[in-house]
Amino acid sequence: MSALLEIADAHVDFGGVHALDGATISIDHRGLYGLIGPNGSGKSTLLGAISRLTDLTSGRLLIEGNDYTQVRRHVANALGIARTFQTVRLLPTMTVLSNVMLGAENEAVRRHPVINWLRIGRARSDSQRARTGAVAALERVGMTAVTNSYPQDLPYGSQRKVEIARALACDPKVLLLDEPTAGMSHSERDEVGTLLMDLNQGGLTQILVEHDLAMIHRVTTHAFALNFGKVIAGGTPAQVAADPLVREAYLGHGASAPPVGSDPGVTANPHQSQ
Amino acid sequence: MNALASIGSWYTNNETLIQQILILALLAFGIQVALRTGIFSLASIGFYAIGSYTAGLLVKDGWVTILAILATVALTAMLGWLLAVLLVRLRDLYLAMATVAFDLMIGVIALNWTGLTGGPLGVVGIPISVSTLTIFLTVVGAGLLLSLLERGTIGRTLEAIREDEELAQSLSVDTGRYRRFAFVISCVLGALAGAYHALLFTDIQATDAGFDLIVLALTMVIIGGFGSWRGALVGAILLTWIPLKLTSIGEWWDVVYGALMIFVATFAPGGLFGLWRDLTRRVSGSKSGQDPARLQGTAIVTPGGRAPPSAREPT
Repeated sequence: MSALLEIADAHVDFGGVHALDGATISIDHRGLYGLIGPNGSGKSTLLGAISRLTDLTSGRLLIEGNDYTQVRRHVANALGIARTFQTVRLLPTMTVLSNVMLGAENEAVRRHPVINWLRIGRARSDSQRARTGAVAALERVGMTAVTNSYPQDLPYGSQRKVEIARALACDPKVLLLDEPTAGMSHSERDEVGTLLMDLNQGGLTQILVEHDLAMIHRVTTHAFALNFGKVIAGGTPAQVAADPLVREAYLGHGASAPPVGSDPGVTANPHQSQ
Repeated sequence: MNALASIGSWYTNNETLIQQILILALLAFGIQVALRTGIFSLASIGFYAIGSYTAGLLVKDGWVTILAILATVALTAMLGWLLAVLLVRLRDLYLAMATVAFDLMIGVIALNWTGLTGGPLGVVGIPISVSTLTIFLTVVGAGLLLSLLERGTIGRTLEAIREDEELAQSLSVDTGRYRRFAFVISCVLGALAGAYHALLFTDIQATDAGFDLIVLALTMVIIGGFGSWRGALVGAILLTWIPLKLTSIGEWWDVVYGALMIFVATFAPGGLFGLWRDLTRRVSGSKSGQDPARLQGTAIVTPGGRAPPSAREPT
């Protein structure tokens, strides 16, 4: 069986900076992939490239064997790629339910502005279906109690779960999560970790950017490490954590293994950990 | 009978004011639709001029009013789409500047294309060919269409584009297509306002759609609130009506106007509509917080179709 997602020799240049410098990874169906690396190693750029919000300078993107390197930005979602962002990006002007419905309303529903505007034909039943899909997604993350709240009135951890619900409502083939537990308390992190594992049990492929190596150990099935825009290691989470190149990237040359469950602030700043 | 007569005489005394409010409401709708989608476009004013010349000249040429108006809508929709394609890369202040430049260019063309527009003399002697009722019904229709634009899938989609364009794209919104769509509606509404002005007041001056009109229309939407067409309507009413009531203060009106703008921009960036929405949201929020049983009670209806006693309103 071919891979679900392939990123081949991806380069992204921002001015003179090589944010991605020939990254190649392959994502199989039903995997939960951890993506680690120091700050500025290109993790978020890689997620941006996969979700088509960031254009590749060169390289190729394939989903289920089809090249989507050149498709327009909004098409990636229709191809089955949903994502969350490093910061909370819920719309403060609408309720939690409406925010999640934005995810449930897919490209086919939105194709014709005039039909949606005048509620011609299937627009009404589409809207009903979006509501059902959104409620189901909120159920999966355990957030149905706050359906009619406004996101800014919720605790931070709940906001992040609503974001995951919005991405789930897209019914994606692969879910990209950019540090979904950043800034969360320990118990909230454990909860989200369990949620991601449950989703994976249900067959959802995920790519998780995460600083907390304990989290990577606990939840992921595979891992990649990035540094300077290149993939420096790949394999099981334990293999990647033990890789000498990864140790060096995180802690500087000659240091011992990265402390499991270490504070993200420390691992993120290798120069301070001397 | 007395009441009817007094309403009648009030209407006769204020007919011009009402007509102006209705026409400016259409123009304000145009600006509001764009702003609510996050498009800082003032192109509606240029299209106000294009609409007034198109409809005015066609009717003067002997066209049936309804056909002239439909032709104006079709032509300006096409031109609006072309302009949208041309300005696709511009955002925010840059887009505002480009569209103001477009408006001023249209003004210069109107002033100099003497063969078509009459230049500085303008177009005069257009037969009065629309009634106040027609314009009123158009405003009602536009209000209905705009309220549909604020609900359901399309309402959420446009709001997402305004708040976070990149996020919208990641949720499969073709933001370019929806921005063009809103831009065209904005242009057509401006053109309709101009067309009705020409067909009601029988003449067109090249200076009608100048910088003053840009400022006026934008002020209406900012003070009324860009979040809803209702805000634009309230803005149009207030800013047409107040200056008339304040004629005694003469040139001091500009000071009141400026102070009002500063006040709203500072303390109520969502305009009057924004204030009202925050208020209703707070009231309904605290109500459900205080007494959840009351909200549940209204939803519970026994199979016989009668509400349980606790949910019934006291008679």
